[in-house]
Amino acid sequence: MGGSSKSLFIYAVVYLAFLYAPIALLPIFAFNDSAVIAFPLSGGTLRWFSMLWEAKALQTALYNSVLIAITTALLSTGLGLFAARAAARYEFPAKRGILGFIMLPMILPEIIIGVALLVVLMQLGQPLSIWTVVLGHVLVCTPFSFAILSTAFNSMDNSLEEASLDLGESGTATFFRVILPLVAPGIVASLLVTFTLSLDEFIIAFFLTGSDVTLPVYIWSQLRFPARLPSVMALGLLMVLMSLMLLLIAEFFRRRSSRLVSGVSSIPEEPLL
Amino acid sequence: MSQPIDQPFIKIQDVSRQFGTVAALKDVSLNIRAGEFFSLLGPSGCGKTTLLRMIAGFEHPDSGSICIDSIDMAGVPANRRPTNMVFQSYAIFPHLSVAENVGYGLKRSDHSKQEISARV
Repeated sequence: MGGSSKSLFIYAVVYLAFLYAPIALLPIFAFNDSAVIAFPLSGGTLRWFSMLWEAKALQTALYNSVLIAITTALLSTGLGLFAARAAARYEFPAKRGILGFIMLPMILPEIIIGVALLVVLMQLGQPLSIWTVVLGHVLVCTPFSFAILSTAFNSMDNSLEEASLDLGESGTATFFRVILPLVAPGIVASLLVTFTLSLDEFIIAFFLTGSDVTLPVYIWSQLRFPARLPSVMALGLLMVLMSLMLLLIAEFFRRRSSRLVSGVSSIPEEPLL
Repeated sequence: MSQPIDQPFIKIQDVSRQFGTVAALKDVSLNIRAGEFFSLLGPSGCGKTTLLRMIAGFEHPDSGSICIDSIDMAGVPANRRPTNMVFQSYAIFPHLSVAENVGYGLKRSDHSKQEISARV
């Protein structure tokens, strides 16, 4: 037993190193005083970060990406909310087929979605803009939102809703006083997940973006200039830190929700992300 | 409740309800007078809950009628019926405090905050 557990331990360490070591290189080269990404290191510098500060095109791309991500998160979570509520509570004809169609974009290759949407938009004579990217992102993010919110709705006890009606509250007021507060942690999780998905989505954005590029598309275009590579590393470091922060927020809300619901109904213990 | 005491307050007439192939209730009729303490007993699966949920307005009879205080309840939604029900799972709102749970039904536009806290 001692031998096998030791080899498993080594396996786990190697596995984790393989996964995360490349990310550990980001901070190293983001502060390295050389345009060449290679060892040995040649002293610390902050000039890559000041280069970021001065790159106006990058800031525009970041602004575009954040605007797209926020809009996408709100729209897809809204759509997912309606769909998840309908799926959890009501029976209607062709329910399985309709739900399957909602989940379909999750398994369709993004390149196919990108090309198909581009063809349709061209045929309609619709000029490409931030909003065409939002359209594509909402399409791929809604299934994730639906999946997260379905879990939230299914773990809610139906008799809570009936109890509220029984106490004389109307359907609309019940939705706002009972249902919405109980699925709120799921809504927050869905907003964070769809925001993150949209922020780093590349293929669809690449196809549907016009002159307003998103951040991933901008980074891709910068890779052709080796001198700019270190500042892309600096940018990467900032984005990793931002993602970590979002992840911590999502985890905070998830734990709060399992505390809230425990004892009345069960919620899956594994993290959403 | 102005009618004589021997008049039925809740009147259930020939109520039937079918779930798929299972007949949960079949031509059930009963009268309950105002102020009466009425118990409905039976093994699990015999339709007690179905009947209770019909009186509360969460299920609808396939046939037959339910009258409360001489008013046919057929088109009346659960939140407009003069009934209250204790759920099997108690249905205590987990996101509200004890006082907010107790005062839930009172917290509508026609009750002020002071009145609610006084009554809770």
